[in-house]
Amino acid sequence: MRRARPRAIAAGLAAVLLLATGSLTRAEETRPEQDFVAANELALQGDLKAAIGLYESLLARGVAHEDLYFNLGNAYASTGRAVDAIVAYERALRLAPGDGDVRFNLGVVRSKLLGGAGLAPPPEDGAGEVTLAEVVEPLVAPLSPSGFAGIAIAGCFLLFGALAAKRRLTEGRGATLARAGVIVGAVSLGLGLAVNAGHVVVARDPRAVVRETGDLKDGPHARFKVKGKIAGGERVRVLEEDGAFARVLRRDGTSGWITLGALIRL
Amino acid sequence: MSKELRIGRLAAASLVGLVVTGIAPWVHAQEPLSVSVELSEQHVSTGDSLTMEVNVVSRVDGQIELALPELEGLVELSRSKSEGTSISWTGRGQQITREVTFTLELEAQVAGKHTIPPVKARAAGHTAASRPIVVEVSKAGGDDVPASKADPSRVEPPGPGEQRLFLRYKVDRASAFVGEQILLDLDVYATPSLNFAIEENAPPPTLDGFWREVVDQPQRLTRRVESIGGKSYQVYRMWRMALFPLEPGEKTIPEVQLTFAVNRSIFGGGQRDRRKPPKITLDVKPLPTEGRPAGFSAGNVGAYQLAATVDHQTVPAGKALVLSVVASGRGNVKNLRLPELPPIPGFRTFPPTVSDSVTVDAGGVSGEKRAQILLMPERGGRLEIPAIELVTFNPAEARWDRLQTSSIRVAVEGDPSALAPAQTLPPSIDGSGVPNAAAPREASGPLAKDELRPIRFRSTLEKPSPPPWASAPFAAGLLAPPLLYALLRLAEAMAHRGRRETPESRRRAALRHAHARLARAREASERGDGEAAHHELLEALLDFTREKVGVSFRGMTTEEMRSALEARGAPPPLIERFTAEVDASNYARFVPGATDAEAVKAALSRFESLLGALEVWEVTP
Repeated sequence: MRRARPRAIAAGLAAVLLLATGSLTRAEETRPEQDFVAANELALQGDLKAAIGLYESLLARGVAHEDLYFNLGNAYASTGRAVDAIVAYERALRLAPGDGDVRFNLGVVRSKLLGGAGLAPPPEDGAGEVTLAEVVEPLVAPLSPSGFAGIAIAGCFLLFGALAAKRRLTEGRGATLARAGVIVGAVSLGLGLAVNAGHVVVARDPRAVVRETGDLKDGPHARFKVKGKIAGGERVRVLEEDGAFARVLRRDGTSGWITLGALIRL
Repeated sequence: MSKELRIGRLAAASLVGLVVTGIAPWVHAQEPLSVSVELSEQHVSTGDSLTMEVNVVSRVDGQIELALPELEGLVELSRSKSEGTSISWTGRGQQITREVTFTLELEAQVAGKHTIPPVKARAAGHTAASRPIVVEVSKAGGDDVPASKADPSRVEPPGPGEQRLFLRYKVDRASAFVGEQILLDLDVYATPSLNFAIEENAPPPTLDGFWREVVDQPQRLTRRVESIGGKSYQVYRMWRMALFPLEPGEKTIPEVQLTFAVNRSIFGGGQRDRRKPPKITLDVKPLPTEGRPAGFSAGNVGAYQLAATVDHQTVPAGKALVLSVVASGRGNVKNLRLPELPPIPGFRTFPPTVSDSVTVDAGGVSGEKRAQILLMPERGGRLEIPAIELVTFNPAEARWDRLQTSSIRVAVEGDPSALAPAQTLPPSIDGSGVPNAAAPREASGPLAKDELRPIRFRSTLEKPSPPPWASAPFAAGLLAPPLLYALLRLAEAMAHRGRRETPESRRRAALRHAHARLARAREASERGDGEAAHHELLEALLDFTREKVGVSFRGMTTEEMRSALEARGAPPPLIERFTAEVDASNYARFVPGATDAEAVKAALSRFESLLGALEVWEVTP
């Protein structure tokens, strides 16, 4: 009886500690959502500076979600920070490639920015050099990778299950079903793998946004000839780096060198 | 003159006339040189083209000279020539006939009646000329032709020069209110046998005083048949527009010009027709002022319904709800203006997001306009969103409609006012230490459309899960089926191999059977059935030996067994033991009572030993 008491006290303390930690953890988990709602209210009230501050604090705390980037992009856009808005929208698209609202707002802000700078926005389907990611992205963006991963797995099971059944069922309806299963399984597996491969290509595409309108040079040094202008807010693909410069590929297929400091990596 | 004489003279004259008539073409056909002219059309409009074919036939030797006359009111666009020679034999010998054809494409430029003078030809001293031909050219459309009042029930018949092909406008109504939809079609009418294609098309015109939407502009024209003035035509719709007049008065639909290639083959040829539809006027009536309710917006003309909904009927304190106001129906949805939102007691309202979705079909324009307003409850309990009213004018009924939604009741759990702003707002971001004081903006004024799609008010902000290609379950899910399949194939292969008989497997099987029989012999011995025990021993011996040697010893005599074993290299002691056991077993079987339990036990022991010796014996093939 005497020995049991210290044990019971210890168990009780442990339970209380666990509960406290749990509730602290839960509070920490819901705090970002509360702050997000609070930031949204600030934005709707018109206090965009405060809203941006709160959104950025959420990002600093490691919260990375397409809704957060989207709302931050809207706040930046409403305060005239077009390039920051473009970067936020592009990061949202990285997380959710099929998000139509993000694409829409990105298009609005980008065309306003580039139109104001007197530069025509590069065509969405650029001529000249076309990267695999550019070709693949519009095809796979609306398709959920996890959904198609499920289809691939189901297709794989169906394919090999049907192959196994085909060895045993050599004639009759069973054989026909087995053959059909092989075809459907192969197609599902192929489709699922292809969509995910496309997402891999897009996710690994080394993209960046140009910070401000500047010169595009022929080579990786200030002494090289200027071959044109590149607009702030334009999305590019980083092909290589040399010293303080990077060679970028624009959406219209042209390429050139730009200072690393002028790029914001996505 | 007597009656008979008169009849006789009449008959003679008829006979002569018949002969002359019969001979004349033959004579004409045999003329040394002849010229004929044919026109594809003798009634055209200005701008139309027609084809003139001049055909010269010569039966004499010598160069053919042809003089084409000046063509009044017609301009030559192109000319081509073809020649042919034929040889025939008549009673007078060989006859060579040459034929030359000139094909001229002409364009009628001047209206009026024009005569094409005779075309003259000369060859080897002979001359010939064609008959003159008259061409009537009428004016095509023209600015001086006044517009006629539109008539939906009637199609104006074709004018001169339009017999085979013409254009007409068609409307579903000749008179409409400001903002009421009018459907305008441009139709092509063609005679059934006409082969034509569109050379130059004209897009639907922009019209002053109208807001327009192109409803139909087919890539492939579909055909219908209509009868005008008792004559059948094939009709093709070029386009259909929905027009919404912006102001009252008489409005003219201007003409447009299309150019058609008619009867043109892959080798060219044919004619070119330029056509315009006659201008028409529409009567646009102003909206009635009598009975017009206050709050009417000029674009709200059409047949609409209005509805209001909320996304949550019950919300906890601190959470917002979304009020959706939707106006839907037929009319110019894009110009529709939703009403001003009245102040809603108990709610703080935020600027709305407005969107519209327009459907365009053969019946015209319809769709919906939607406004979504964020409402934040300011107090707990049961709150009511009052009815919202929209004033429209229904042109079909010619009446004013006051569309109204029903009021919506919402329950707010808790007390939002207990959530002090300091708890939900962060400390000052600019570092001044003073909390940002942002006064809430009250909704006022008409609903407005934002350029950007609105923010997302709520989100779970869940951590993005790793992509499938980086997750172990995905890899496992893909690898498991082929691995399982490979295992299955491996197991099948092994089972098949196991089932396959080899000398070694047969030997082991034989040994197993022999031991099984030995076991049964022991059981029989324990039962006291010496006969059965010996039977089992003998069978085991013979089966095992057959498997070992490859020859069945059943039915052999002892000598034959001995010989068979010797031939396969069995050592003599083994042969002796084998034959002794066989004899002993046979004796015990056929002489009941000759063996006792002890003898059977001994036989069992000897058999086991013999079995071991047979197993190790290597058979010589």
